[in-house]
Amino acid sequence: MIGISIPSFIALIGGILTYEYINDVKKRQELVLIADDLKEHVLEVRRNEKNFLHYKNEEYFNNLKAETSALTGSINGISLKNKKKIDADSLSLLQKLNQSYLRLIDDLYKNYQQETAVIEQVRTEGRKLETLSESGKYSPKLSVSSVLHLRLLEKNYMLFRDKNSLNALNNSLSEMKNLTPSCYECTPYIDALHNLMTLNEKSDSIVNELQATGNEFERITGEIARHEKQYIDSFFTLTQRLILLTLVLLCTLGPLFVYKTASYIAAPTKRLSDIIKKISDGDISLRAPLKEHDETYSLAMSFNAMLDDLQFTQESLGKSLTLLHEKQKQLILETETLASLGKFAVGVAHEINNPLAIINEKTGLMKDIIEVSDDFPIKNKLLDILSGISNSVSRCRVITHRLLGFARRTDAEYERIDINNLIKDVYGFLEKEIFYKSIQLNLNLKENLPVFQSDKVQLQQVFLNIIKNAIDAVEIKGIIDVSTDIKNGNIIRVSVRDNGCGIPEKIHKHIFDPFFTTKEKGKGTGLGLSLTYGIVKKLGGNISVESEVNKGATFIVDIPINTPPTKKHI
Amino acid sequence: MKPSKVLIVDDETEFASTLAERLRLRGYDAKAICNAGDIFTIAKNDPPDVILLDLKMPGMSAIEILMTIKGIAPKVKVILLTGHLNLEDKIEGIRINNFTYIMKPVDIKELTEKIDSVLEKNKKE
Repeated sequence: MIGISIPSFIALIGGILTYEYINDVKKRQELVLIADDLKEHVLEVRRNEKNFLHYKNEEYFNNLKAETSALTGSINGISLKNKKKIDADSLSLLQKLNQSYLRLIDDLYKNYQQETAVIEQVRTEGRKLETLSESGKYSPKLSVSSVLHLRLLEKNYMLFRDKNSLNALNNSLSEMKNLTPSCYECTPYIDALHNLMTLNEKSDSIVNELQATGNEFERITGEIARHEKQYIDSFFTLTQRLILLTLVLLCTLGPLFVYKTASYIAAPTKRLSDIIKKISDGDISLRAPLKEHDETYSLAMSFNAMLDDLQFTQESLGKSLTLLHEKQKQLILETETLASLGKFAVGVAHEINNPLAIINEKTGLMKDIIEVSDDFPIKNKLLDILSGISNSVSRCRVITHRLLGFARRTDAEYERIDINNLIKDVYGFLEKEIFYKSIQLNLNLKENLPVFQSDKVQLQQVFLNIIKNAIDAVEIKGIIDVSTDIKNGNIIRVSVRDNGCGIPEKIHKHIFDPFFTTKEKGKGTGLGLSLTYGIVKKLGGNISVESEVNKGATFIVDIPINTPPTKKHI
Repeated sequence: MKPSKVLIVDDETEFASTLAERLRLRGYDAKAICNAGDIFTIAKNDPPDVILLDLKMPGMSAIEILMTIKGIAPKVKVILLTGHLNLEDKIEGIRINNFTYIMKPVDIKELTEKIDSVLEKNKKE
């Protein structure tokens, strides 16, 4: 933020100052124009002044007066504001001078008019004096030559109007007065000349004053113009320096600001990236630092929210995993317990079966011998007792045979299986029993079922057990339906339905428990369905039962087509 | 009519001899041996009609014994005696097509029926 705001602030201030400054200079330009205008007018006045002093006639008098009035107009036309800005004192002085100048030219012109008149008078009186001298009235004091000499001096004076010619004329007049004091006709000429001299003197003094005023005009306006020029010059100098300063600032502070700004943005980004690295190394409890005025504030916020979610998910995953491990351990323990129980049962059954066989044969032999011997008092009683032993042996036989059912291969061996062929094989094993009991067994085998990998022998045992159960459940002339199908494209389903006595709902959940049986005493071991259940589960499948009392039961076995590729051990 | 010759092969002497005696009482020419190695000599020199063979004989598997007997004396019928018949053995036995079995402890009536049944079959063949 600072990285952007500081240069922007400087640019804004600089912009405002420059604008104000340029505006000021623009206004100053107006003053320069005014100063130029004044100077121009003054020059024009001075030019006309020269002409007027030279020609001394009405035309040039009017010209001069018009120009002087124009100057007056110019001065008066300046606004009060501008006057203050230029130099109010100089301007008011200029105004006063202008007024006195106007008065002076008026005076001068009047004087010139008088001079003209007096000069005419001098000439007239001069010609009269010539005539007088020619008459010889005051001869020889007033000779023609002396009068002509006087007229010559008079002309010289009028022509040169310098001191020498004035002195020469005055001397000559004094000489004439002295020679002819009684000549009253001479007096007008002398008076007229003196009069002219006085007027000339006055004119000269006015001219001097006029020129002094004119010079003062030039000095003041020149001063004003120079002052404005200086101001503009100083503006350019200042601008020059300002540009130089800006360049220096840009070259030095610019990179500094860029560096500061870059680090201002880079620093939080780096902090964030450091945190991300630490988190990716495993410490998920870390959070990105939050600085409210940071460029990365919202990024860090979102990042932290994401981390919260992640941590939560990770924790719940961890919990689930722990739970799963516990369940798995429990399951393994259960499986191991079952497996060792199975091995134990097999061992016991084996050990018992052989002596049992011997007991059976010995008892049988005793019966045989007694049966073929002659009658004796306790013959029948002994035969009864022996039959009791035989029956008990038979019961034991059923139990040991069932227990030995555990002695199966512990590794599942996977091979390609066509479920329909497998069912037909099982049917083959049971064909005679079915025939003897007049059971109607229908095979509804769906054609073109996919071939899948599973343990053939164990699957045969599964269906052997289930179908044998069905055979036991139905009365003579019962009906059993065995059907195959495919479910969801990846599960082979085999249903075995019988129309037997059915299974009461309250024992549904117990039928797969070991040693649970509903068969009459001595006929069932309660191990068949338990074994079947174990095998189906081991092969990754599922077994369930649907039943209604007195209507029959349906066992449903689902076997996945995608069996696990690894061998399972129990 | 000459009595049928039955040879009982079982490592349980008590069982084998008692069963033999019971069969003799029922009119069979029954004999018991405990050593599996003797089977082949007897089968060659004095072939019985039926051999009752315990599956769990030491030294050889029942299937091997079955195959050997079939080679020496093809007409001899074999009934397997077993405490527990493995399903694989059952299937293998069916495959070699010379096979009947009976579970120990045996029911004497069931046994004599089986013996008579295989001998009847033999006569037909």
